[in-house]
Amino acid sequence: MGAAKQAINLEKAAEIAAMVHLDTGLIDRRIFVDDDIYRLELEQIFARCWLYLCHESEIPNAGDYVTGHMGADPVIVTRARNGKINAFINSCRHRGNTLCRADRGNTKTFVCSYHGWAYDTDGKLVGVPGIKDYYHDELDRKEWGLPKVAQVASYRGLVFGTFDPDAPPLEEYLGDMRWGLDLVLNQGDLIAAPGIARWSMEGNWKFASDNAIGDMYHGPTSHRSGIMSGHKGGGGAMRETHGSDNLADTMTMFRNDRGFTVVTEYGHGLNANYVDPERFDTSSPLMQWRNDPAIMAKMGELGSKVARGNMLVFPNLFVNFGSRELMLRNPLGPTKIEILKTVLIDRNAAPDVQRMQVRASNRHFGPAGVFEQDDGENWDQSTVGCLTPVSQRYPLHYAMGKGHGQVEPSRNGEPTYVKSLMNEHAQLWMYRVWAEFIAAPNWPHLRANHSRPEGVL
Amino acid sequence: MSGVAEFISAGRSEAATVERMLLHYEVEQFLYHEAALLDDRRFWDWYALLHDDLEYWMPARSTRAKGDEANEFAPMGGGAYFDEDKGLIAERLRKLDTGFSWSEDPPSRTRHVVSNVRIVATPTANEVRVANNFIVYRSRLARDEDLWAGWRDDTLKRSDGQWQIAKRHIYIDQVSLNSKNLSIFF
Repeated sequence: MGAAKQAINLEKAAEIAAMVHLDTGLIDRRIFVDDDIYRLELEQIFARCWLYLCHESEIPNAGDYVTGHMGADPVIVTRARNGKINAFINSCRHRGNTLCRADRGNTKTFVCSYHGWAYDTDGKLVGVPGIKDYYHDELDRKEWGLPKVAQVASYRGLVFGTFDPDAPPLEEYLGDMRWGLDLVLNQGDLIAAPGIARWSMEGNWKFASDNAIGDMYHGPTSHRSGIMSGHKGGGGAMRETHGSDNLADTMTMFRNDRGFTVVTEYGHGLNANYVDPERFDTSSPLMQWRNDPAIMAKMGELGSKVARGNMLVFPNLFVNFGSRELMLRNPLGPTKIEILKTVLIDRNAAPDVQRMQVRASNRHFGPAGVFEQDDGENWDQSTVGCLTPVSQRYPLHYAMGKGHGQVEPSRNGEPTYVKSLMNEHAQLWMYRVWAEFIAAPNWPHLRANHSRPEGVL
Repeated sequence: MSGVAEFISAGRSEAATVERMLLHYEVEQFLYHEAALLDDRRFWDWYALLHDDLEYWMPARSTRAKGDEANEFAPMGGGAYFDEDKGLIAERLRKLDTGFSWSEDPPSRTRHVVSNVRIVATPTANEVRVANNFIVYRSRLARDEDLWAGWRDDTLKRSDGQWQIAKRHIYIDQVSLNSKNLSIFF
């Protein structure tokens, strides 16, 4: 039996979308804390977009499963007997009990702990105690299987799902951001390192997303101590340098002529630094892919110059180029986020090199990362600043560089980008697309009417 | 942890038992002293207690079905919150000294409660493997509070009469840390 979606008040949605003032680049603080806006996001964003589920390597064998969330909805992702990946809502159809309480494992059937209803790895309801004696055979098991995630697809090992049957295919949704993901995925035959780091903090999920998509500006301030203490941004190589020399050298990264900003259809974006390829230090075992001509050819002219890059797959997947993490930021309400961090390692690398990759990632990112430590309280306290009525009268400023962002057309398989690094184009772009999703009645409307990156941002 | 039973086995002479108790007292006091240095924010003094060959590891944990408990913790080399050698710890301490370490400016207030100290093995006269439980409480700003619990599998080595931490494996009792960051040490 199909489930009825709650009707959306499109007039109210349009009012909310208008809280993003595209003419001035100012954004109403209420979108970061309001309960009604959050509920609307769960429908208009998280129930529509393609959301990251897991890496294929986490569920290689029939019966393997992981549990997680799409937005706030709990899901189980399984590898079925026929090798297909399925995903369903992790809630028994009978009384809603969480069906699977483990984070991952292997099973043939999921049995509800409450009344014993049992489902297989295709989500079919295969067992109901007392179906003849108590239900008088009046329960049609075919109608009461687990609600299926409408579409599940994989991009080069990254498994995504969408609740919306009208969403375009994954590759169309990702669009030019495939170029960004390829910068990471080209580096080797990548698999997920076993074990996902998870932590939660107060804050609105959008602050984490806009930080990933295009906030180079916070680097010199938020991450100054991480830079000074010996961390050299980008590349993932474990090089020991520290002191003021490192700071001066790293600060040269934060210039407009040292990088570019990609924005794509459906709200994805990437910000990257580039250097001349000869300047790369390829001595680290983590950098050997740079010595592989086949890989460098796949990277292309622009890609092979990228030294450091952050990208966002809208709405909430942050992928880092150098340390190869996938960081999913799920909302736990309007003012709470849970982050799940997966590190991609090379399947064919020696175990000590795989461990080196994970350590390189942990050095920057994760709750103990010398960079990421300083992000948490920023987002938490920024959200605090949006909570109260007088503070709410003052919109947030997302207008750095506004009017200066000439979008270069796509060529040579490269995405559209702006030839500047220190700007807020990608962040405002993300909110432009956020507003379009919020206000759109359905996917066919979005497909026909969404913003394409062109002109001047 | 069968070494514990061995440690307090019946039939052992009183002298040997007293010797064991003295060692236990020494190790326990060391762990309390170490905890006090962290809570007093005397981080470089704490650093001096770390062995040059330090292995400081805190693996990610997941909720597993009964029967699958062996897979709760990620293996070494897999997802982890800490996987440090002494050099990486030094990097973290330099970060704190830069004057721009915002996650610890204002500094956190921590309280490391170390308990259930059990010497598991004494491979040599100058090496002990000691299991111990911890509860670490943190308070930040006006009302931010964190509470972490777990146990530590420590290996201490002694040279010139001074104990140092050669290995610390931290097994946390949360699968999703309810904290905005880990800007403190366990």
